[in-house]
Amino acid sequence: MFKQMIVKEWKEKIGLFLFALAGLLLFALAFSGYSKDKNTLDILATTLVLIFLPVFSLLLGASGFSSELQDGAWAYLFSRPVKRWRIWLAKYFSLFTILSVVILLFTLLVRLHPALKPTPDTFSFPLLDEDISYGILAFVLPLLLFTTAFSLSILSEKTHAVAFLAAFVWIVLQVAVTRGSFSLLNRGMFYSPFSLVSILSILIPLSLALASLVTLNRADFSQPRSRAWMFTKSAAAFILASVALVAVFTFGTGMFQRDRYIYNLEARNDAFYFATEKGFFRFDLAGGQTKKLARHPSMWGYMSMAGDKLAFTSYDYGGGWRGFAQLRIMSSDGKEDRLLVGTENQGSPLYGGTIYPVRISPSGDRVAFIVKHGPKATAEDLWVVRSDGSGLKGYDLGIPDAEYYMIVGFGRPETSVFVLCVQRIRPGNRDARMGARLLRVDLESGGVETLADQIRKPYVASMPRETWTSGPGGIAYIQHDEAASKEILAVLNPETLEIQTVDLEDSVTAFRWNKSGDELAFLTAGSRLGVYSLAEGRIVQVKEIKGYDLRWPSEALEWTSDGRIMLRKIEEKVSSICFLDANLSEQKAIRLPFRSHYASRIWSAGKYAIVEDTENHQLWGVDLGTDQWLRIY
Amino acid sequence: MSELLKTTNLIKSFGRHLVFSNLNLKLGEGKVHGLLGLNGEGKTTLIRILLGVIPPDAGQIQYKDNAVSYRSDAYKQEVGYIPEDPFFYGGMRVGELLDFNAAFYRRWDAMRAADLLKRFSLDRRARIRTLSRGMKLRLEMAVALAAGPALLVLDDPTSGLDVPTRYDFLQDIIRELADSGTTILFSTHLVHELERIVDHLFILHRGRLILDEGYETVKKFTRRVRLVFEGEPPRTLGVDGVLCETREGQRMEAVVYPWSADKQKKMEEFSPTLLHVEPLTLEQVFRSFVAG
Repeated sequence: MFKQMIVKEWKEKIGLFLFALAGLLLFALAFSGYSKDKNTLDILATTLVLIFLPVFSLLLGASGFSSELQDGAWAYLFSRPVKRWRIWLAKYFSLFTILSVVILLFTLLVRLHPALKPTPDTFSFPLLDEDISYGILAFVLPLLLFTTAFSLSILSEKTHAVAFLAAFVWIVLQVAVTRGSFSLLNRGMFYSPFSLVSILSILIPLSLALASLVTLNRADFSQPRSRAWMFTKSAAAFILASVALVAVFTFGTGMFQRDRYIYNLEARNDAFYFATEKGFFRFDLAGGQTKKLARHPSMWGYMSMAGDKLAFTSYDYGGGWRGFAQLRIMSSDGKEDRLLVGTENQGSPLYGGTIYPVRISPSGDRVAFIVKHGPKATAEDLWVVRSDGSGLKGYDLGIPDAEYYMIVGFGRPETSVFVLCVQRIRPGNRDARMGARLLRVDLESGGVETLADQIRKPYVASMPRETWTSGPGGIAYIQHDEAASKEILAVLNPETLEIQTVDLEDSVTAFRWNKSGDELAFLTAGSRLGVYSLAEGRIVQVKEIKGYDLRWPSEALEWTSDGRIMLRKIEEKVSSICFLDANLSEQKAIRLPFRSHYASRIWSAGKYAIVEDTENHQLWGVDLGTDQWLRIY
Repeated sequence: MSELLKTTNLIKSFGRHLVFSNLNLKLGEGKVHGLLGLNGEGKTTLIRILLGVIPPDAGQIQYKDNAVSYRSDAYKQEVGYIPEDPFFYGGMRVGELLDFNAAFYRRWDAMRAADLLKRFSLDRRARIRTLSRGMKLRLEMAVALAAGPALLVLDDPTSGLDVPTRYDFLQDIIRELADSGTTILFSTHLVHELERIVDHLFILHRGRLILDEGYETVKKFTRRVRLVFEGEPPRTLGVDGVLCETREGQRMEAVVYPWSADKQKKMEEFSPTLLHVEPLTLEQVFRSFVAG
């Protein structure tokens, strides 16, 4: 029956399929015509993914039962000896094959079209202003819309009306779900809303699909009103059941209440500062106590410390479904928490924007931060404000399509800021191949200078904050050497702007400053561990290492306070952290107090080595004097 | 006569509107049953319930003495259905429709389907939407018969057909099917056409079966009486079973069912100057039954 149904549906929907084919062809031609105009390419790509594919999916789904509902044909089909759920399934599957073929053609188009070549995986969408993979928008969204429209198609043979209704229902339910879920934000469940919205976005079309199945199975199709009523009742019941199910998991099991991420903020000699979705915390090294500093939900852990001041970004949801980013400042013990810059004021150039990384100057007088994605198209991305809230000033970095930023630090004197920016990858944006750039922004003249480009992950790290203002110091980064086709380690002197490069045979994959800021430990793709002395301008140690856990290399390496290198190790499924002596030989290994399949991030603060239990979202610290483990969070 | 299908106390309503209640109906095996009723009396609704397409509010259907649940697949394997409007997936070709239906029926007889196409002069490659209404009806018939149904339900299929086509359809196919043992339930507006083929009559009126009788009996015991009196006709004829009556001056007409010699005698007691008794056509019978 499935085969016959597929043939029948393909024959019936061939017009719709040809419409999709013609549309894709037109887009292909348009991509060719505008291959050098990246803004138009962006708009075309957005239209294709956010409008064309969803509209096609809606129309295809809405046509699901149209031919059966015309002229009482349902009675003919239902009089056949076949279970109705099989009819439903066969139809859904048949139309799904059409949708799949269109999406496959779409995939081939975006993969093979020369104008879209630089963007094999992702590109940005002006409407969303986010990097979103094709997977979510081009596959999941059409499938969910198609399912919604298909479910509603049992209500009427009028395809366009059903498509419109499906779009309306989809938007209303999404807004309701989003609004409902976001109310959890003020309970400190920062990631919960996003998880809930995602889960409910799937469960709602599934609920509608089940409701249509129930309606098909039980309703009297000769009575459109009773059919609609049964569908409405069933849909409401299934949606409520979905919400209840998710609520049980959310509040009953704590599944979505757990922290998803722990952000390392600052390791000092007296304390280790970190953030979770629930707020900011300080682990006191002497007392072994963890204290919550601020209840504000953290914004991806963006925080910066200088002296006794701590600047951080947060979101204020104010009970509504839309939150506003805030830049706040407080003392390092969590007191005197106050708002520095808000984005809720419609008159402000920062209105509605997202505050990205924040950096407080070493003297604590100024705070630099990045604002993006506001509805007001301002040229300024970098903003600087005094720590008393005065003197807000914006700077245009002059980099089109700049997306990810990192404020590396303030210069000496504090009249310049070093910013790392990554350009958005999108159709036609060949400049994106330049990779990340290190910029120096003069805060007085507003001049922007590119110090380095072709910077690769793990991008860049300034020397530790304690030594930033004193010793020789520098900004380390990994740069792609196109001629040698490898990644090399480079160190920039922020005062003289001289660059030292660390010449190795293979590519550098990770690096880490020591606590005094005069040496860099690094890892290479060939599993070599080395130490580069900034004062001597040469590699003082290098050794091939074996048996260490070098997954996620940028997090696999750390210096202890007493100048030893720390690495992770897995032997026969037992994880431990190892400490190397000056000759890079293993001196000691301490077994982790938990089992983890994932690579754990490691840090060092004072007498503690700190390890993250990635699976359980916990932090553990080991006293290097006593080897005793302590759960920090 | 053994019963192929039997309903007990079927009730169906749409909202506040009661379509029928406590409907008891029996279909004798191998017989042609005519289902008559005015528009909107619930014939199509009854047929859809019998087909398991829509659920009754209450009541039971038994097929071959076994209770049939709503949506029963096994039961539907044995029931063929030809709706009022020939419905097909228009984009299909004749052969594709047959293949499409073959997937549903265990007893699908492809040879018979091919024979029927030949007999009905249908081309497997012809697109359905290009067929005339008469040809579509034949195609529906071919689909229904190739599945080898024990019960064939026809919901007013001949309306809109020209006379020769209707005649062929009724005389040749339906009668032939009945003769071969297929039970038929035939609902139609063209009452007179049933006359040639029907064995048993149902008349559905105002939510109940007002007639459930063999056609021969109905034909034999339904009579129109014309009476002429010297003065004004009596207010009542004093007999049971008067389906309808009309008065005009000294004349009076009545249709009586069941007719009997006793009833004639009773009428003669009113001393009419003229008493004329005559048989009725099926159409006249139907009109008389629903006139009251």
